[in-house]
Amino acid sequence: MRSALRTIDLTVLALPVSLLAAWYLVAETGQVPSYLLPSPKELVRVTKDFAWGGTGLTPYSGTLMEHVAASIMRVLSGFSLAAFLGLSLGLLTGRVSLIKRLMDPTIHLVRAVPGIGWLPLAMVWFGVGEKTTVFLIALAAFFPVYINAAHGFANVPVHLLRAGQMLGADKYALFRSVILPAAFPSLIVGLRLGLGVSWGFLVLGELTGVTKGLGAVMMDARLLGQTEMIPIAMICIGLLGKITDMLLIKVCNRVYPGHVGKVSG
Amino acid sequence: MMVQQALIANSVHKSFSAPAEESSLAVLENISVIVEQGEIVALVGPSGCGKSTLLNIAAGFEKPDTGEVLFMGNTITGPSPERAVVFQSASLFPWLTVKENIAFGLKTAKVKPKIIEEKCSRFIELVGLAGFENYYPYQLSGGMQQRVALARVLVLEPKMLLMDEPFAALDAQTRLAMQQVLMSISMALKPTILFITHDVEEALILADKVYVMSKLPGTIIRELEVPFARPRPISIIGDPQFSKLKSEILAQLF
Repeated sequence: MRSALRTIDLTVLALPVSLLAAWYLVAETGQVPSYLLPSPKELVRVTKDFAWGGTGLTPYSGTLMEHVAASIMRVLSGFSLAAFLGLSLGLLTGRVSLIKRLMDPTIHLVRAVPGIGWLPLAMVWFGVGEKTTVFLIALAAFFPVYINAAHGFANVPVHLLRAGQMLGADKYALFRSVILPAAFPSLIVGLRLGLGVSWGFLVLGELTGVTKGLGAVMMDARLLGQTEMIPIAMICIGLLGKITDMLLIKVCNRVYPGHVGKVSG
Repeated sequence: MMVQQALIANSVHKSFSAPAEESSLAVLENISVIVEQGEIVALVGPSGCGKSTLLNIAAGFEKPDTGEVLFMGNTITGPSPERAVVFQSASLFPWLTVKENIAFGLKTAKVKPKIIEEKCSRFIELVGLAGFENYYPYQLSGGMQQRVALARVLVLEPKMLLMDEPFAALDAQTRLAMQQVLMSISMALKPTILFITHDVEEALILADKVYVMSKLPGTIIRELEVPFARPRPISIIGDPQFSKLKSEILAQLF
């Protein structure tokens, strides 16, 4: 993989480069009006202005950081809530058969309702904006975290549990030194999927009427006819999703440094 | 006199019922076994005869239906590092290095790090794994993994070792090598061992006493003292008396 990156493969680059060139030609020659497709050059100028301000090209001049901060805060609160509930409920249903019978079928019933379907009800309950966004993120991110945690905790190999017991581990030690590390790869998968979903539902929540946040910028820019801001906000969300995923992996690898099946960024 | 006996199984019965099935399968029937302190006792039987079930009961993983199993005069209530187990699959913790796997029990018992360090390196040396301390289990061969599994329990100085076909998954040469490792360790540490195997030759090479078990439901069909002095060289396999015992037992198993 790494060596493939080092020796640049022209076949890989061919498609994105030609797409970029086509985009540039179509936009620069004015064949497509800029309110439908802004040119790459324009996009770069507006991005600079969005980030550092000064030129006042759009109403969003110099406001990148406050929108980013607002979005990150919402994702963090929603995702943390989902991670906490998903991991702890996953542990309970994964390890205790009574709790599994009690809760698991109902959780999956709720899961069958698509997350987007909760939007109208959430708006009634929490009003337009902040709380609704966090609620939608937490709800949507909960399921992948929960399902993977329950699976990981339920499938700790019996021979490892027995090995831990005969080596003297009591209930707590068994959890900390056998169950948790054995379930860990599944937990990481769930958390990564949940974090990805969080960014998706952030946009959904922010489209519905908050003033700050990257999703709000997209919706607002559409109304104001600032089409060039829409792809910029999309790219920002993509980058933030990638960066937060990498950070999550860093934290996970820090917790269990020697884990087999260590995930790569 | 009672103290001399490490493990006593008294008319143990055990049966399993498959879920959704009315009838149950008798696995152990009226099993009585005695392991004296410092003795190596082998339990030989065809595969699926319930011998591992008896070991699981002795380890405290399972309970007998009737009958009792005593360790040092007390009824066994659960797993304990006093009765340490070496499993058929090495069952090492894949997220820990060789050294961390061996230190697991000592760490759990909250032994001081300095003493853990000393003991670990002593036992790593003893099982011949010096230089592999920082490897992960998946980087080791099957035989080396079993050495780690052995060191992991020996380091706790258990009163008794329960070994459940520990060398059955290894190739023939590695198995012989591991038998020699166990033999030299038993000369050095004089542990009490209950050794489960389906390999008659292995039982006769390693054990002081051999119990022969029948097919299901498992009962003890023979008990014999192995007449050879220890340490036993591999060449003992060619001894006429050895061959005679081996073919006698094999005849009983089929």
